[in-house]
Amino acid sequence: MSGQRPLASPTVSRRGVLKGGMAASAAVATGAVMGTTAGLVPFGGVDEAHAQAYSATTSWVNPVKRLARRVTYGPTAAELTAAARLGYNGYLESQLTGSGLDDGPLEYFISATFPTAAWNIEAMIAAINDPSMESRFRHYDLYYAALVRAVHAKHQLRERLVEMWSDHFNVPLPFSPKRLSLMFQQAIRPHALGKFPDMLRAVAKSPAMLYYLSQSTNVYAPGHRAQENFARELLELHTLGVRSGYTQNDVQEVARCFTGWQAEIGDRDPDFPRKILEFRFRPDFHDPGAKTVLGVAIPARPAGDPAGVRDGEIVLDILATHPATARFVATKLVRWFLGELAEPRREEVISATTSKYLSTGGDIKAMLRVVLAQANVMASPAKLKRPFHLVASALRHCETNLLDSGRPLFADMLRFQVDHLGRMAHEPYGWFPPNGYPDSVNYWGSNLLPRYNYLLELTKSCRTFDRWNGTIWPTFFPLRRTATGVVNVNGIANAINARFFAGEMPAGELARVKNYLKLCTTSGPNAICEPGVAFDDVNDFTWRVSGLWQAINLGLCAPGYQWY
Amino acid sequence: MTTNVLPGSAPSVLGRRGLIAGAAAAATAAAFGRPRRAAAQPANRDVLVVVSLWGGADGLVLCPPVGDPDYARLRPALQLDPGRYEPAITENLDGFFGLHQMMSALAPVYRAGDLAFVHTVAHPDTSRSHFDAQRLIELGRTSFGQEQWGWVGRHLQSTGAFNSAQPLRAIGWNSSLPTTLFGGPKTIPLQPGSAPNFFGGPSPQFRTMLDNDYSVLNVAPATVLAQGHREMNASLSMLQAQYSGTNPIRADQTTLSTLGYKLDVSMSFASALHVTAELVRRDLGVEVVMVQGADGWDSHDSAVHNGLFNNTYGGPISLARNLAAFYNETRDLNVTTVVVSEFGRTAALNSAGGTDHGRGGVMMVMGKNVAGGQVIGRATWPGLAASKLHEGRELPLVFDVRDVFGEILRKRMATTNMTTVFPDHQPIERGVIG
Repeated sequence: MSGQRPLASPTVSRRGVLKGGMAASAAVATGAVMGTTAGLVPFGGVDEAHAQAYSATTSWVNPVKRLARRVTYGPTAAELTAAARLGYNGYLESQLTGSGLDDGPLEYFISATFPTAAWNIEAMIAAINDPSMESRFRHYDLYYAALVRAVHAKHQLRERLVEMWSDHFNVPLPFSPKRLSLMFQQAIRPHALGKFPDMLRAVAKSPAMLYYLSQSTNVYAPGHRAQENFARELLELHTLGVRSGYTQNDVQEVARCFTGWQAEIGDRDPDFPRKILEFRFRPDFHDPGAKTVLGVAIPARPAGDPAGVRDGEIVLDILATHPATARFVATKLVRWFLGELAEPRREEVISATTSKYLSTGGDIKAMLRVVLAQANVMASPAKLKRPFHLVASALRHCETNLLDSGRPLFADMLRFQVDHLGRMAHEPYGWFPPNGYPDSVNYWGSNLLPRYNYLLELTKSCRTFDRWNGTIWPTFFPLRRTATGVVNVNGIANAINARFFAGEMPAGELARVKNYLKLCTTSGPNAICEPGVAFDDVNDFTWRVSGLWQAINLGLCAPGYQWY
Repeated sequence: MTTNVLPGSAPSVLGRRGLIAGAAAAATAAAFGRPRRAAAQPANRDVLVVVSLWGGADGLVLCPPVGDPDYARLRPALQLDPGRYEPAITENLDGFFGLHQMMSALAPVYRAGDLAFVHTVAHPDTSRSHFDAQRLIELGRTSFGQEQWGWVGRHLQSTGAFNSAQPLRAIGWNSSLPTTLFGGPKTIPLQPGSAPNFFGGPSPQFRTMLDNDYSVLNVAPATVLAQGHREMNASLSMLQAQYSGTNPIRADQTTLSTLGYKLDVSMSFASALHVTAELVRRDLGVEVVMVQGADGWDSHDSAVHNGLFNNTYGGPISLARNLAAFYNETRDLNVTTVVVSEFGRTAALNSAGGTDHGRGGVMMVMGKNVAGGQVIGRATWPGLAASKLHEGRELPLVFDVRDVFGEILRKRMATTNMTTVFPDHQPIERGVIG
């Protein structure tokens, strides 16, 4: 999985970067000088002039805005104001600690509206035992809760980390929404900014993971090898990382240590709800023999010894303190927040973050203080928004209110987002293999049409469904023309820049939005609304062919909005 | 699962390319009568279709070596209830290898001489990691380095198109461009189910401006977006034309007459195969098609080995029936289909009655130009005795997956520079193409 391996640095490729396939625009001076504003790694400058990769802009010069892009799902005007007031380090600390960021009302809303995502084990058992309540468990609750938190949580960094850990410890939703919900409540969310070893231990005992990686069938059977599914992914994906030095024998020995770690799968037992939702160790299924894991001897135990559960716990201790785990987790954090950072800084940051893991017992906050230091954030190139990020950022920038479940079409509107996430192939918890959704441009950058279509439909509904969909219409419609009655080119373009790009839209893209608006008139065949429709009369049907709607989308569909 | 057997067309054993191919061609011509436009596909070149079985398909299930004296000991779980599947017999392929009864839909294709198995084949990577093995196969490289391009991408980049005027050379039926195609010109990901469309039909001026936004990106990795945008744009109208008009492709229903099994287009990989057959028949210049979605072969426990495949598309039964149906739809065309998985699995069952990640596995190669009716690997079969197994647990690698790909590239895909496509492995011909 590419997310676990360093990809080639952006400007290095064996063959000079798709040169055969890339028909460079005649306007582009290949290899032109990068804009070098005082030590910054430029994101593109005036993109035609600088021929830069990311087409974000040298105007991404404001460190607080850059940090806000990285630790949120899209900085809103309110977020930027608060961040500017706190300054770089103050804002970073507030997002690391959550101090002053009260998400209590949001969590209350989620537990009331999406119970499957929020009920604890006792509430779930009570509901399972009450047939009239069983239908309350809706897997969509988990999608919606993830989306609503991403859009509305004040503690944005926590949600960004929950997304990262949900890929690190990937369990696809079909393997039981109730178990998955409990894994997030008990293991991922409480430790997302805590200590990695605590999260690791909690995930390893979560029925969602144990069931998904078929631990229920990893039982001691003399004469047969232990079943390796969980053991291998634990080493390869959760802790040490592939090619870090463990052997096939280690995989088998780890599998032996975890024999008897279970989530029940039967439903005939009278105590079945609790059994499927709680971790259980079955001493009678545990291999009592001596084991050796990564050179550490684990002595034999009496057969059927309930303390046999310690074998697995010892393995987790070994893994949690292993330098390879520290480096693997550090590398993942660096990639998640700093993207394809160039060498030698990349290696320096990974090393420093690894050391911080080892000196703090895997304290994620402490590691992030290293990763997100201003010099690193300023040096890191722009990163492609994965579709979930794109959706959350568009909703934040549209100022869509997802917290009013009494509004008409509330469920339809949420469903709309998830349906589009499906078309963009990034439904929450929708990745089937255990490695989680990729975190790479190569994976997500090739299929742009579903992204365009989402943005176009979303903003269409800003008019059609304006009862729920944000403040696009009331903001932009009054801006449509100047006092002298012509198309308000600068007013519209600047409003797009301010709202969606924190005022730092790539210059070339901003220029093209203006050029597009200049083609529009208030009447005639290039009217800013549909020909034949009076200018002030744009209705639900003509909004989406209006020049105003298209101008907004020209900004959103352009490359600059795909990065953060 | 429905059997999808058409009335009066029960699968039967048929002679090699005799009656059946002629009948199919005639039926096709009668049913559709589509005059071909100026041919895009040269007669000496095949369309390559690659179906990936990610998860690690157990070669000892798909193509069991029933003649090996250790086989029955190792795989008691394969003593299946004979009444459970139809037809109930495990096909005898060559007196040594059988065909699992779940795969019996492919027996007629094998008997017709258009299906070959390659046994004990794998990528040489020893990590036993799904993700590393998959990616290395897609890259076509022995180990990781700076390589970002896939082996098909390098082939397309270095070999002339069927027809340079056509906008599209390769399709990945996936929500992102498969790594295999990465780096290749005129390649796009396409999601099964419906025609790609631009919502709301933005104005031509909008499209022009947006094209300009993307065309100025010329430094990696933003070039990925530039290429994604450009290739989507270039092929959009061609594809939309195929999905509309008087004779539209319907991703959700098979329209070709078939013999035997019909593609079950309710499943995405089968729908992808169906549209692939249509696009190839329409001779639009598509050279390579990657079919994904037939995944879920990670058979760690007994549920899989008992045939209750815990995967998203129905397991070997569905795989075999849909491959047979695809064969029926394309048997008269120059199409070579390759089925590949990232590794085989352990020879012995584990404590859960399943199998863990192993090494040598099985590939299938299918089409009219294939030297079918044989299991390649019989002569070099290492045996299942414990002393012969790799690290005492799994079939070793005898053939490299790139041997199979390389032979097809050389004989049926006009590859001009094999060392560009496979820089660190010189493919050895194993006789998969007749």
